Parts: sequence; C-alpha cells; structure tokens
Amino acid sequence: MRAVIADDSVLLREGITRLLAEGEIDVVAGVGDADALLSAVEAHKPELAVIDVRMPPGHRDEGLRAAIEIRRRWPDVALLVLSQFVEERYATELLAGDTRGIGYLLKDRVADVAEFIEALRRVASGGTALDPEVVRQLLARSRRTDPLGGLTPREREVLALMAEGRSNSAIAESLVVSMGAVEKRVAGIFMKLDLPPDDEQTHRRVMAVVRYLNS
Amino acid sequence: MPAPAEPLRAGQIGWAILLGPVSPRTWRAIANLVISLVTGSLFVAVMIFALLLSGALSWIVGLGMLVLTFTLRLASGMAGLDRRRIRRMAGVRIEPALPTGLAPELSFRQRQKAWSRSPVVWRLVAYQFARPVVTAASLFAVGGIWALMISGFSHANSSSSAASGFGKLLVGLVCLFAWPLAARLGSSLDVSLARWLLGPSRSGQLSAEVQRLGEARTLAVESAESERRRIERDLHDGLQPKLVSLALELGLAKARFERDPDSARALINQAHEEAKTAIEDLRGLVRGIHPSVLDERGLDAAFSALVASCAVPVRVEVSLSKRLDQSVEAVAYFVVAEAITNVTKHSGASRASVMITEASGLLRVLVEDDGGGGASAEPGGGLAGLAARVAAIDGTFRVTSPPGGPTHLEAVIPCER
Repeated sequence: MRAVIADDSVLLREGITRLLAEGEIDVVAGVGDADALLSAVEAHKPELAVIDVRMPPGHRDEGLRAAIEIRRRWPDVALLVLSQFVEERYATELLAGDTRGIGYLLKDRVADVAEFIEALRRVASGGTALDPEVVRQLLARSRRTDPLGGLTPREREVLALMAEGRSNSAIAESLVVSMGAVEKRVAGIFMKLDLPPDDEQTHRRVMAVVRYLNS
Repeated sequence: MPAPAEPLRAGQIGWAILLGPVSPRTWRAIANLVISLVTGSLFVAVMIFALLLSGALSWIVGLGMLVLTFTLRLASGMAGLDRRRIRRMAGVRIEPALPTGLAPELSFRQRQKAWSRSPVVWRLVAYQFARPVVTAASLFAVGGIWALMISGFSHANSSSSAASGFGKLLVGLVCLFAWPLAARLGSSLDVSLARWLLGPSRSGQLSAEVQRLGEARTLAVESAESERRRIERDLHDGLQPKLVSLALELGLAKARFERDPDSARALINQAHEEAKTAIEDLRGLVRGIHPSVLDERGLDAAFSALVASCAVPVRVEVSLSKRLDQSVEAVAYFVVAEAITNVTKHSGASRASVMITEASGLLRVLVEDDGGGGASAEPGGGLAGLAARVAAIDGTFRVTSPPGGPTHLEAVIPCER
C-alpha cells in the first residue's frame, strides 16, 4: 500500500513514516503544507493520505480543507486526519460527504503502534476511525434530548466503540465478550435508536451513529 | 491663580494705589497690552488679507485648505509667543494646550486633519481674534483716563473759581491713581483670556486623557491576547510534536522489543535524546513566558541568561538604584528579549549593547547593534507587539533601523506612580 504524509513537523513526518513502514505501508511522499499535499496526491495517486490539520501558511485548518478537497477530486484516496486537538465540528465536516475510508484521530494515538496501524488499515480498506475523544464530544453535543436514555450502560459502551469505527469482532475483543453478545447489543442499540439494523459495513454503522447523534 | 494670593491690608492697598503710576507692574501691564494689541492686530490683518486673497483666487483648487493650514499654524505659533509674553510680563505660566502632542509619525496631511478637527486649535485662533478687542478697549480706557487727568491738571489753575479749580485738580488726582488700575485690570483681562483659550481646557484635557487611556487599554488587551497566541504557537509547533514523536519512538521500540532488540535500543536512544531536547525547549518556553529570576533578582540578573543565548557578544549596562514595579521590569525585560532575538536572527550584527538607565521617573531601555538594519514594526510582528506592550503602560517605543544599519531600539517607560 502507498501513502502520502502531510505534516509540517519534519520530526513527526519521519516518525510516522517509520510507523507506516512497521505496518508495511510505503510512504511515497512527505510534504509540509496543503498545496504540496494536493500536488503529491495528484502525482502519486496513493491509496492513503495521512494529514495534519494545522499546516503552513496560516497554521489553522489547512489540512482539513485539503482533505475535503482531496475527497472531492480523488474520492478513492482514503484519508486519515491527525491533529493535536480533535473537534467534533471538524469530524462532522469531514464526514459530511462520502464517508468511506475516513479517519480522524488525535496525534497522540501514534504512540500505540498496533492500534494505530489497525486504525490505518481500517481506513485504508474503506472503514472509519474516529477518535474516542471525538465520539465523546459527539455524545455530549448531541442535539437529541437524552438520545441514549433508553440504553443500558453496556449498550452505551458498545455504541461508543461502534462510533469509533470498530467492527463487531473488534468490539468483542476490546470488551472481552463473545461475538454473539456484541451482536445482541448492537441489534438492541439499532432497535432502540431506530437505526437501519441490517447493515454490516463498518463505515455505514459509524455514519448511522454520527448522523443520529447530530440530527 | 494670579500671583498676589496673600490678603492685603488696607494700608498696603493704599500704598499700592499711591505708587501705582511709578510701579513697574503698571508699566509692564501697559507694555503687555501694547504688545498684545499690536501682535493681535497683525494677526487679524494677515487673516483678512489671506481671506481676501483666497476669495480672489478661489479658482485655485486646494487654496482654501492652504489658507486653513496657514491660519492654524500661525495661530499655534502665535500662541507659543503669547505664552512666553504672558510669563514675562505678567508672571503667569500657561501650559501648552496640547499636552500629549500629536504622534510624530503622522504624515503632514494626517496631522493637518487632526489639527483642523481639534477644538483646542480653534481656541488658539479664537484668542487671536478676541484679544485685539480686549486690549484695544483697555488701552482706550487708559488713554481716556489720561486725557481726563491732563485736562484736569492743566485747567486747574485757569479755572474761573477756586471751587471748580479744586474740583478739576481732584479729577486729575483721581485719574492719576486710577489709570494704573485700569491698565492692570486690562492686562489681567488679557491674561485671563489667554489662560482660558491658550491653556488646556479642563474638558479637552479630560477627553484627551480618556482617549489616551482607551487606546492604552485596547493595546494592553491586544498585546496580552497576542502574547497568549504566541505561547500557544510555541507550545503547539515546538513542544507538542517533539513529545508526540517521543511517544511514537517509544511505542515503536516497545513493538520491536522482542523480535528486534537492536533496533529497539536505537529507538530508545533516540527517544532519550528527544526527551532531553524537549526539556530544554520547555525551559526556553517557560523562560520566554516569564523568567522567575526577574522577579527574584531583577533586570540585571535576568539579562544574563538572555545574553548568553545570543550568538553575538552583547554588552549589558544596567544602572538602577532600586527595584522597579514588576510590570515595568517585565516590559523592559521583554523589550530587551525581543531585541536580542532580532539581533541573533536577523541583524547580522557583530556586537550589540543593552543600556538600562533611570532618570526623573523614566526608565530608558536602549538596545543597539551594528547589524544590517531594516527592522520595522510591522503589524503582527514582534516589534509591533512590543510597541503595544510599552504603550499599554504609558511608555514610548521607537525603532530607528535604516537599511544598512545600525539599529537603535529605545523604550522609555514611566516607572514612578
């Protein structure tokens, strides 16, 4: 798999390159600003772009805008947006259009190598990876009045992991329960929140949750 | 208040009246009135001429503006002379009406605009028109009394009867002692008028002060805000990536530990180095926010580390007899810190000097270097931030840095309250 990295910190670019090598992902270009990122994506047509939100010249949300632009022009490129802060608003903007292969994580997550690579692969294969921090904000800022009132504590846990983009098996592993138990909870959540239940693709599940919380 | 403030006894008043005609004060009052009348009339004459001229040449575009400029300049120039005259002749000191002055960096047109809008300047003009009237009336009164006196004395002998002769003599005597009073009264009228129109008006003074304070407050808020942003940027772009990268390397090392201990060891070594530079960076950042030695030991002590971090040799001279207000010390410190940073980064200087002196309640911070110059206080830049910080505590900030150098940076900060 080939990836492009955009981050204005050379140190981090090198670190992430090494990290990706660990996951057997080739970094074909490392760039330091949004314009260079767009040209690199155009030139290399990678499967994946790892993008820092804040980049020169303005040091604001250039990376996020570039990500949305890449999605518009080259919809096949999976996007993993990294940031030193995560914002629910940014996540919503990022997920506003086509939602396949999108991730939005705190930069700190690179420290947990295995998990980060897992998220990376999930995004690259069309799934979703939302930072637990973003999910927390989404849950807190939900426009529904107590949307989760009917859920049991266990169902809420499962919902949060689902919103991060994890599959049923990953959730089962994370909660140390059987696959069947997770499936049961998921079905319960879908029913209680009135979400389309028969969709097994991870990104659709995430979107269902996100859209529900935002609606 | 006018000079004689102590209460006079009847005897003193009597003497003062008796000696009136020969008192220097009387003659100074006369001189004051004459000079004021002559200069005032001259101004009015020039004004009338200028107005007639501009009427006749009204087809020249911008002439009206020119006449206005000329009027205001002339009135303000004359006001300066008048203040000196009144101090000489009447011993009354009138403070200039524009205590804060106009910012020296304004262009001619901007100054002109500010001038023509300022009520203070128009008061100066009003004085020039009002005083010929007052002084002429006063001199006319004095002249009238003189005429009465002369006629009294000269006809006292030739009067038909002794009674009427005595009456005329009496009139003459009264006039002899009355004219000095009239002269002094007239002169003090002129002085009062000048105090009213040439001096700072109370409301003008207050509104200027309010405006200045408002600007200072805005600057203080802005400089605090930009300072916070600078700190955020330094932490976000400097320290945070280092820590993330450190965590990443340790994470990789952990992942490789079992199957590839050599590469894990190399990663740990690298992480170790990075941890150390991160600590160093953090120290620099903390010091950049506020060095604690500044509070504990003062400016001179705080400069040591600053100078040590500068690539160029810096001579530091701090002559202060006592510790200053904390906020003053902090601003002085950051002026020097920013200047030293600029010397290191941009100037290409081979040496620099820092001088801190204090005299009559003003702290003067001077930083000079022999580098390439060309420094300017661009909006959003470090120097503009400094200027705002200095202005926020009523100080003045000036940079002269012609292309080719050298650069002088000076801040003067009031340090006594």
